[in-house]
Amino acid sequence: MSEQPTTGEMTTRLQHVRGIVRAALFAALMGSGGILALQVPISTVPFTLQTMFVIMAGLFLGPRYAPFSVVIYLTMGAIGLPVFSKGGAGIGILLGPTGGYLIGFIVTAWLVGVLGALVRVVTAKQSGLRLVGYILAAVMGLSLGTYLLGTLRLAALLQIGFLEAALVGVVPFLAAELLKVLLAAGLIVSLERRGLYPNNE
Amino acid sequence: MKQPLTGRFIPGDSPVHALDARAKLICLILLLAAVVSAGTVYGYGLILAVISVILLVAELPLHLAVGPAWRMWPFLSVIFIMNALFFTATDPLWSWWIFHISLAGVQQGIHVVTNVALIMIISNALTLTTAPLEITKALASLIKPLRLIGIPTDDVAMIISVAIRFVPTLLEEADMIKKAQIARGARFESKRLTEKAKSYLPLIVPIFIAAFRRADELALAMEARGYHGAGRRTPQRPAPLRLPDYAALMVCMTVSILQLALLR
Repeated sequence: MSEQPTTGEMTTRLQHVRGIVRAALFAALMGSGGILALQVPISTVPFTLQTMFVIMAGLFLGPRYAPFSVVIYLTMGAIGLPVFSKGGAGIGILLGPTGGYLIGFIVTAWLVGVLGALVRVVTAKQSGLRLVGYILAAVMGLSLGTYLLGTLRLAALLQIGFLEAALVGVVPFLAAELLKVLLAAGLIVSLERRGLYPNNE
Repeated sequence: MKQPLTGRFIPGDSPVHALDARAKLICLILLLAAVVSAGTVYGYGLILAVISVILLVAELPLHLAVGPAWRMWPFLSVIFIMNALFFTATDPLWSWWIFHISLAGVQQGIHVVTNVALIMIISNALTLTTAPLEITKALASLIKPLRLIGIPTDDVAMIISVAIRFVPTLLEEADMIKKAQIARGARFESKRLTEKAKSYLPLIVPIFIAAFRRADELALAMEARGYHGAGRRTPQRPAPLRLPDYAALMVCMTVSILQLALLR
């Protein structure tokens, strides 16, 4: 009977366990993004839902657990589970030319988490302004995290200029990415409307 | 796809399979450093020799060991062409408009493509010969210093198994809700894209809500059974590195040092 936790301690403990289990859920979502992906008949660019789930993780899990969920996802890929796009797996993909984008997901998740929390403080629940705020947070997080790191890595490994790397690695995906940002922000807002609130709220 | 995710691991009883996963991970890092710093034909020869020895000892079939790198050939050829055409404008063999093919450019292209392919082959050898759970444990023990900046590294191994278990659950859930919506008249089979997209939207929100309910139930169950972040969890069977592990580390260390020496 010496170390009975107080009620306060038990809630924070439960919050931590809930946080890491929800992080596991988002890692699983990122991993199954390839399987659940919608088939877009016209475009040749693969429309995977990874970035959408990374943004949703940021908005939903917050800056503490969102990067953790991305780390879990990347580790799943690194140990050989087919969770990267087109069923790819292995440490080779993380270290290869497109690995920078994957590593950049960690920064994106954290940044979107920070900005999303900020948006929740300044805007009212269920307002159109909150949706706009989420979209801006997602765009900033994506460009400063995934795209910046990914392009730097691509340019460094292939020994080409930054602009050339961006032309190969970012521009063809922009339209689809914007669609995913809109989807992610809209989904989070509609989940909030149904009473499912992000962590730490 | 209702089964849990399976990895690319091929069970075997070769000396490479038997090495400790931590030792293999550090060897991988050393060998990758050797690849990146290779600059001469001899350097690449040395690395190719090391790779062939690893693949032979591990008894890996060639198509599995080299396959992932081979499947990247469209990407690799684009890299090669970009390097060959744009690398340098001085001393061109052939030029037209903004394109200049020079000997240095072609060499640069070969250099970059070989590096990418070698990195893929070496790291692929690790995932083929090591069980996913072993790599997880090894990674968890190697990233322990990250604890200092607040990342719960002890939870990583536990949470990965939870995440792996979630994947089939999610797909099952999606399937169930899809059938429920079909029973209510949703038209997933429609040929028209807008109609198809519209029928998917009411699917996504219920999937999320069901998934979150499951996750929160699991968290409650884990907490009720006394899980509160792994904390300082000690291994059930402590496994120190053995002689072959140290030997492998020494060999890889020698290879990367030799590589630096060959550079001179």
